[in-house]
Amino acid sequence: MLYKILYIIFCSSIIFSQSFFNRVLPEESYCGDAKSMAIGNTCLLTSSSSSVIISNPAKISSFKEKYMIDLNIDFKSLTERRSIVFKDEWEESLGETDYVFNQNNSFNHSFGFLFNQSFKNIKLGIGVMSKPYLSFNYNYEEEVRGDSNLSDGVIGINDPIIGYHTYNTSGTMNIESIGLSFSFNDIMKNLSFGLGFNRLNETSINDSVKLLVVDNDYGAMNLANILDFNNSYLVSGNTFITVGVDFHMLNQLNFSFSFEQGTVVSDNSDNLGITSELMSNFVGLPQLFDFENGELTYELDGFYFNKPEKNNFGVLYSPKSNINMTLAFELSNKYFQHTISVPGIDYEINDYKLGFEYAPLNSYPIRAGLVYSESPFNAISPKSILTLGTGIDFGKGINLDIAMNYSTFNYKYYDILPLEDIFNYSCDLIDCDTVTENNLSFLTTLKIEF
Amino acid sequence: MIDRKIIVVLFFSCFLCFDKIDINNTSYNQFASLPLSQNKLEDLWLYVNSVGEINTIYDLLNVQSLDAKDIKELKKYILINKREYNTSSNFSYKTDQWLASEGSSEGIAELWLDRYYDPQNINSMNHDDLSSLPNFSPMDVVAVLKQQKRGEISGTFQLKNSPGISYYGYKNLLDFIKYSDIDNNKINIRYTSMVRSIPSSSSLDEDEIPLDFTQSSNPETLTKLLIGYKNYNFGVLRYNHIGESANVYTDKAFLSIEKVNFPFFRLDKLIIGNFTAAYGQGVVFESTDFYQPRRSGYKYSKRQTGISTDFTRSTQFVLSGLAAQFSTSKIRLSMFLSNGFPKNNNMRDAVINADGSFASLITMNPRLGYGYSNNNLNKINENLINSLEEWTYGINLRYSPNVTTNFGITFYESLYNRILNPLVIETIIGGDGDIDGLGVDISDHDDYSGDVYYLNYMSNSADPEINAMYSSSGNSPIWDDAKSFRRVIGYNFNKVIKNMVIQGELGQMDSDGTLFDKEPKAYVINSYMQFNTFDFLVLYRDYDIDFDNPYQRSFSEYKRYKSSIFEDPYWLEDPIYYNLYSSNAQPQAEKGIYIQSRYQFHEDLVGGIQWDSWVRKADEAQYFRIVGKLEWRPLFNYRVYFRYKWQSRGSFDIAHPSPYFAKEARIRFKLRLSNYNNMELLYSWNYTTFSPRPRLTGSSDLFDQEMHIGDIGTPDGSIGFSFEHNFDKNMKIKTGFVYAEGFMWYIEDNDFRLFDTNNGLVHSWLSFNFKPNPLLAVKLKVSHSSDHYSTTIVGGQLNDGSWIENPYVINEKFNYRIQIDYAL
Repeated sequence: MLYKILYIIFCSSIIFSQSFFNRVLPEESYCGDAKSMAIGNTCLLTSSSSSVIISNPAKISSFKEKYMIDLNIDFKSLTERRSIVFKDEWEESLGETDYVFNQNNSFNHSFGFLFNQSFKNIKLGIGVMSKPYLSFNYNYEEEVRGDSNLSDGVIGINDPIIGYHTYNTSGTMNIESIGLSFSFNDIMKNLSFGLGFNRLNETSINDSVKLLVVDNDYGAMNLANILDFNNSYLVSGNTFITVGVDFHMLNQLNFSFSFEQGTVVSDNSDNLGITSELMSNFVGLPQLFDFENGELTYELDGFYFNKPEKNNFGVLYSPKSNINMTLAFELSNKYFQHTISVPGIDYEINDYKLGFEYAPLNSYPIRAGLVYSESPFNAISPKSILTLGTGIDFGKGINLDIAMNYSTFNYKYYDILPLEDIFNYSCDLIDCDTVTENNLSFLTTLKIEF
Repeated sequence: MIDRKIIVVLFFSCFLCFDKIDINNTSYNQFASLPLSQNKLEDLWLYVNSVGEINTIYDLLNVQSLDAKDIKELKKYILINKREYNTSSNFSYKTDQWLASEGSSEGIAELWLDRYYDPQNINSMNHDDLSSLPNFSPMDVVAVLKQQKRGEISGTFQLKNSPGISYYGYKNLLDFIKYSDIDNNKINIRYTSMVRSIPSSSSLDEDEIPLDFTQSSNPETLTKLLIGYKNYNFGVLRYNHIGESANVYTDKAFLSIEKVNFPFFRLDKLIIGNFTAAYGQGVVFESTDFYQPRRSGYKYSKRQTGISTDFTRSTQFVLSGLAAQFSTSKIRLSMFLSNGFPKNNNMRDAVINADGSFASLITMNPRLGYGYSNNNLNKINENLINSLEEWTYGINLRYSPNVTTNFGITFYESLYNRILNPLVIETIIGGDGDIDGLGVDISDHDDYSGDVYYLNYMSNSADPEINAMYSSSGNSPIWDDAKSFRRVIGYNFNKVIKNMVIQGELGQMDSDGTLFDKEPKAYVINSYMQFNTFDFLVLYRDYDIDFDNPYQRSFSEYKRYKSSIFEDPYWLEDPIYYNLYSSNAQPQAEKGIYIQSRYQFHEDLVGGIQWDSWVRKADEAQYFRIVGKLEWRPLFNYRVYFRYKWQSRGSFDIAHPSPYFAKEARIRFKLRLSNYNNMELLYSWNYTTFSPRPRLTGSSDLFDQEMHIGDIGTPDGSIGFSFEHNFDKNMKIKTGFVYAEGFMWYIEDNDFRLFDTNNGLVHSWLSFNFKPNPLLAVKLKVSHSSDHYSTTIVGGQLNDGSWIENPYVINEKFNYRIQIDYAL
């Protein structure tokens, strides 16, 4: 009897955190500072650092002192498990076993500066900021084993390693922003407005596949039939604006609205992004590899991404009777501009965010929240993100906040580097892999006001 | 002249005093008038509201931005009085529990919330009003009714002296009553919105098998709004189960008028829209989707008898139309007609046969119209959802010759717009029929088909219950579309004799219009005694196997179809039909005696026992279940809870095909700290032995009679820790952690959870209870479960035919719950 044992591998790299679809639908980095991240990622309502230039520029002048500098350090850890179904003699499913386990950790940082000044009846704020914005990173490594029985007929327990399947995409697009806000001290004193100009920097994206053979005695057994490649694309940046409005009411309610313009990021090639041809009719997700004449080929050439237009609305409630408590609710609507609708993609999705802060004076604040985030791919269920955090005030305007986000979700997908053409079969027939992603991220924000 | 000056000075002093701001008890608007800059005002407001009461003006020097000059200035404008604490939050520990209620207790918890927010005048409460209150026994009800006859109850003194009222009855009553009709003009508004991805266990039974049926990406959602003014109530509700499509939900609405006095009678309730109804012991009629084991009607399993507005999560047995209830001192008349008005939710989910008749009603959780995949168009004849229209009408007449005695008669009829024909093999059970006509035989194995093994597979010995499903066809003068019907009539009574009550109900099916004939029947009789430190309940039930009444919710240990082929989803046409057992609320046909008692040996030691011995009618299997409980308080703040359960089937029958014996022990150590904080340690260990099932223990060849191993034992164990911390009265955090091996039930905050793991499971949870103002409460909970990175499965086959050994398996789940409650 043939035995094929696929084992777990660990790989770690110091790159941006990753997901398989980051190459076609890049992941956006944290939207605010550690405080807002802890309160359910409510960056529209509760962010108070330079990141407001993107999330809600009306808040640029909302800090007390004249100047503010902030530094954010982000740590992300993502584990991705790919599992296959195994069955008993009755052809009934016994469970799912992992054959790939990728773990990726990354650090990022961002910083910014805000300034505000009152002129008679107008309060004016100006800010600048730089941070990583989009990530194209994905890192896959699969340990491939051969089959081996001992010469005396005893079945070997550990089959030998014969090589590795590796697939990597990499690239990070940074953003630089400048914004201003103003509010009136007399009339309309409860209103503030803001405008942000944002520039996505040029960057390069790199795709590579490499089959590493460590034991030639077994030939190409269990190794995918694909030629190694290493492609790079230069992606042009683009600009977009953000607009924000804040409205205070009854000294305990704060309504905020912001608009973030959509824009196109591409390498100016013929690539049109996620098209019907790229989508698998069976799993309802982009299919990055395919078979041509019995050989595995990579389908992506170039890059195109239509950054979604965002409309954010939020309500912040800080009861007068209990001012150490804050309750925040945000709705973030994202719309992907498109000319042709591709089946399986939802071009308009929402994020629902709920969070709170309990901050007694002279004590550590407690912040928590939950985010319900829809995926543009219908085949991927919405994910729920738990957020937690706290902070410390060192006095004299120095403040340190820390936040944590955790989420887990799974979806069905093909083995990405298969031995034979499985891409024309539905998951009912071939029992697709279950891909489980666990995301854990921490964000630390240091703010100095003076 | 001097006196006049003094008077003038005093007058102006007083005037100035009134003009000053009471800094410990002021609003922000008043505060904002102080002569300070905005920053200083905000700092001061923050300090006063966060740190607490200001005792002297010099306390204000602790505010960083204020200096001595500011304090001197403030002296002119502020007063320092004792803080008047506002402790009147509309939410309490009790309301938190009731708001989290679900299942069969949800309806009555809603009533308790109504009564809590809108207390009733004790002098005008009747038998029904009183008996529905929590932990208020029939003897306590009689005590208050007697006291009403003595004269007006104008305060706690009269109430406490009600003849025979128990201490706990009196204490429990206080939250729900007032002593006059003043303040009756308050508008009551209650709003609840809940979203959760935590799978709920429908029956809250520690023996339930955990289901893995749901797609948590479509969470369970519940939104309800109630507005009440004087005797009028209006409510709307929308609900969907976890894992349902976006267009599948249940809407409810009602308008009710309560307690209107007429010259010779009182209109207890008139409800238009959605309502619930329950009578007697639940043998004949109780409209809820939810099963509760050992539903005796006492203590925590009370029934909300009579008609009530429907604010529950039931989606199947929903009554919609018109209901009314009238009462005098001796007679109560309750009646209803459910014909779908106004929201058409008299539609039922049902399994439809190929010929258009229906095989059975089916309660689904989640509701998936075309099967487990929601796409099984080959095996499911018609969409299961709302496939059957049902009209139901009922009446209950109760006569009370005196306050201690009640006799009642209940009748209901359900009419269906399809013929009821339980074609079980053709429609529900999967597989091909007998291939060679020889029945179950070795030569063809009949493809291990459900069709062939229905009624003759040894471990599905309750299949006769399926065989006894009700069938009907006929017309009705009431509804032209009716093609079949089901009628049940019943008689109930209760009698209080000093500290004891005797209650009972007999129900009988009626297909021919003749009463007291040989048609299937069911009855329950019980007696409950209550003393200050001791109570005792004895209950006997006997249900015929063909008493197939979908509205029966009376006492039983198990649901109908337990141990039948409906429990084996792989033998059904579609796994969704597993719901015929798993979400069924009907009791199993049982006969047996149940005893429950509680005794307080000492103020530090309380013991309790549940003892049940019964026979399952379907296969005459004998069961017993004994649970002992002990609550010991060695120190004031330290409590030890111990629970031990023995349960068995077929212990006294050596030839029983599927016996089992289970022992379950659970011990909790609870330490109560200051400020209502507490921590708890849980340890449990169980052991279950059962006979080997051929398909699990031997060859895949069913007819290989050789058992490869003897009795199987499954040891289960778990250890857990939980902690509750109150930051203040408005902010509470709870967290818990448990490690389990095998089967475990666990109460996680307000959710009942079940786990079944082979490899060990780590479950942790965290909840926040947050009350930003006295009218609003926000609860947020998350939980995470992860199987141990291991497997006891030796090997398995991959899809490509190759084999793997010691596969690496992990299961991981992340769930959440958000609930927002508003109560005015």
